[in-house]
Amino acid sequence: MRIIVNGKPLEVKEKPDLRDLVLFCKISPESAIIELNGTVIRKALWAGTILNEDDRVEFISLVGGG
Amino acid sequence: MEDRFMLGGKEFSSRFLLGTGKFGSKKAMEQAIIQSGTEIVTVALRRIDLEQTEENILAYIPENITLMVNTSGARNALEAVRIARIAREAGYGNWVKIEVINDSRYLLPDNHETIKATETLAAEGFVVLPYMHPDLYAGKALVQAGAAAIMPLGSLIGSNQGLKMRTLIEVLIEEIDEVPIIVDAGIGRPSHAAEAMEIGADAVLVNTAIAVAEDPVLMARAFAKGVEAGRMAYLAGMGREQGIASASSPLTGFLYDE
Repeated sequence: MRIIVNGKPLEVKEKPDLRDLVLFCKISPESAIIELNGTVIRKALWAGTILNEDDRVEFISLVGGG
Repeated sequence: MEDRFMLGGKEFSSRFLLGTGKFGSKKAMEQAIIQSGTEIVTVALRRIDLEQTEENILAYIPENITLMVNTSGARNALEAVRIARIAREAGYGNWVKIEVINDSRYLLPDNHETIKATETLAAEGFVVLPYMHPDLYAGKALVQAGAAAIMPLGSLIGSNQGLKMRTLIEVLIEEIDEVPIIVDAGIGRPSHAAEAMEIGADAVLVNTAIAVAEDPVLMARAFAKGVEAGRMAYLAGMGREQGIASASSPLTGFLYDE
């Protein structure tokens, strides 16, 4: 199925949860923030938060800035 | 000398806020933070680049430092509010530097949208520090909206031009005493930081001038001294400028007197 990750379409297996997606995208979980369809999902809830077709996921992290 | 700086309900001893962008290495950034004596640093939120791994910046920011997430990249109030909420929900605290910018050449802040974002976020319990164009009416509106401080630009972001806005910043310092005034942006040299403090700014925020220095750690120390010297001079009360000379040595008892 297709979801949108950081603004770009991504083909993933059927109904992954956020933890699967983090592993699939090789994201380092300590510093990652996930926003799913506009809502931040806390790390403790990544496992079990199932993704559906056309869901929009943003992987975000803190970076240097002024 | 006891000179505490109250900001957002916390007490600080340093009046030097440091931005963490543009450093050549995270190690240099970490050392600059430590050597500057800063207690507040700004960071930004960005999409993770899925093509490459980036080190976690938080591993290089000492734990006792107050983190202030900026809303850089926001083009309007709604986008700024979204960034602030993400940062808080992700557990990075409730301090936010509002930065709403539409113009990519001069990176000037949009005061109108900044006021709207400040209003929303202050009502939600954020400690809001808006980066703004030094306009008195905007400053008053930001105070009204619940800003914890106002942060006028000294000159264009990253330009190192110093206090081009000096007169307007002096107006803010003179007229707004409800919240601290923190000069942000454009401060390129320790003497600029000292100048801002001498005219009565409560603190300064510096990033580029330190991050791009050949030796950022040494530059961080130089800026810390500039901020401190300017603050001390302000507290000491400076002599007035005069148009004519005024002798420092006595004008009597000259050796050639009859």
